[in-house]
Amino acid sequence: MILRPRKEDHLVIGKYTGKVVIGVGMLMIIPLLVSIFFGEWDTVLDFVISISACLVFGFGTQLLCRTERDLNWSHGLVVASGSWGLATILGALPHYLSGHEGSYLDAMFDVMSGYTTTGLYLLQDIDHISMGLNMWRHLLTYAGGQGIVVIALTFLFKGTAGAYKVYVGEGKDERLLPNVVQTAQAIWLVSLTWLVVGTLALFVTGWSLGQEPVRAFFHAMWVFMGAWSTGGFAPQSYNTFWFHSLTYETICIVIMIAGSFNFALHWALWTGKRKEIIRNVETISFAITLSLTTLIATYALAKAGVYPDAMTLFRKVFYQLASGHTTTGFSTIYARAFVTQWGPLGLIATMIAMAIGASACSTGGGIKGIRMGVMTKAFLQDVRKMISPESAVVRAKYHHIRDVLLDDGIVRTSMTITIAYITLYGLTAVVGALYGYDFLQSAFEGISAASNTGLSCGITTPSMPALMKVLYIFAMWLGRLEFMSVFALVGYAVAMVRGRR
Amino acid sequence: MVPRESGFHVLTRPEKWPQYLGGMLTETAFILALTALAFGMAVIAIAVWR
Repeated sequence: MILRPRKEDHLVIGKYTGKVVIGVGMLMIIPLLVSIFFGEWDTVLDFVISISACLVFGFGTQLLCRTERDLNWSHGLVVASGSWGLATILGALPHYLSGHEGSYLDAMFDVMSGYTTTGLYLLQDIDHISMGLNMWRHLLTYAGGQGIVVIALTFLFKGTAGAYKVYVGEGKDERLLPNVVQTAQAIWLVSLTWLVVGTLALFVTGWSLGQEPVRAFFHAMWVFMGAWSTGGFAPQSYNTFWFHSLTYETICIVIMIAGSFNFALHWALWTGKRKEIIRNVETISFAITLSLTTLIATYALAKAGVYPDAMTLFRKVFYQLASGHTTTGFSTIYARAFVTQWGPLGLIATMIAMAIGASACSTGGGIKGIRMGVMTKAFLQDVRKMISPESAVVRAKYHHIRDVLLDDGIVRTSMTITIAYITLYGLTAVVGALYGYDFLQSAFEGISAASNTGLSCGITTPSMPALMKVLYIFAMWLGRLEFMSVFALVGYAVAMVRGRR
Repeated sequence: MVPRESGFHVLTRPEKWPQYLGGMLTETAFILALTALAFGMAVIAIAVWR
């Protein structure tokens, strides 16, 4: 029996969703300051309008939804998914007002792509957008990688027991420290430390490559944000190919793989548990699947003779595969080269890497390494059971921060989410094929959107059908929040209409 | 009652930074090992399959 939500439920959801929207408005102050610094007065006006809209909405809901009630589990899930939806609608204002988007739908596509750390974009003439809008695009992806709810948890939710429920609703379920607000702060500490180190390394490299210092700094910061958040945005239409530098590429590889690690793994390593990196089921799974997909693509491209020497082959293959597997979306080849040069085997290897994706509780998307590890362990456990005597008790465990005994509940949850991802990948592929795109290319683009990767083989353009844009927006949203909180939002809407009083 | 300390200032105490730096270096070493493995694959691939 579905119960219709009561007024108190609407109030508590409205109150906390409003807080997240206020957080989005406050985040826009950073690109506003960048625009003022560079004297981009049109962009300043765009951000003033957008900030005002967020604050009016956010504080308006605070006034209308006054309640002392705390969040329960379903509230937390609805707030998480609802906040992402509203943050996309309002966060698209600066994009749309810039005049670089074909429509408001395109602007929402780009913003959802940023929040979900996907990296596909429909923005036009990207090489000539303002510094302020570039700052906003990359900040979106950096904030989205942390989780916009994590931002709100850090600054606006202090002392709220129900905050953990919103945090889980955003697809993060690890407590690095006993308190969820402290966990959010630890996540920030890791990310900000990497931000300083990574930006500095990229800045020095960019400067030595001939960029003028101010531009080298901003590009370094934005490329860091794109890599760490596994977002894949870059300030140039040629993405990181623009730099033509082995050093720049190597630094990007380090940042995007580190960004794809579970925050619990970071915290374990940072607090002295160094062996965790070779014992953790996610890093083992990642190392195996990345090496295998790299081997397949290396074989295919060496056999086809696409690249002249080992260094070029290594640079092109490993960069795209690491980018795909971490769900970053950085590339050092042209989008159509996936089709014209890499061929079916290269495309399939990249698709497998993107579909598996990064670690749970990271900035990345996809099925996740921990689920691959759990399902592999469960499969091997079943094989061992079959070849063992009937009376034998066969137990399996996996290591993630601590040893965990594998039980049916864990395997069932992993299988459910994996099936949901595969269904979503299939749906996006079929819809693309129905619109006349080649099935393999359509599957590549669909997996890229649903796993929040952002590599493109050329389908994602402003001229693509509007329904596919809408489908990709939902695929990015579902993939990032790992289905449950979006389903909770749909369930809430259904309960409002059909639930019993 | 003595309030428990929490917040960024506890996490960012100077004595904690050597541990944090060690963690970052471990992560970087692991990633560079995977990168070196991929380079080895490319060298063998060019020698064998091309």
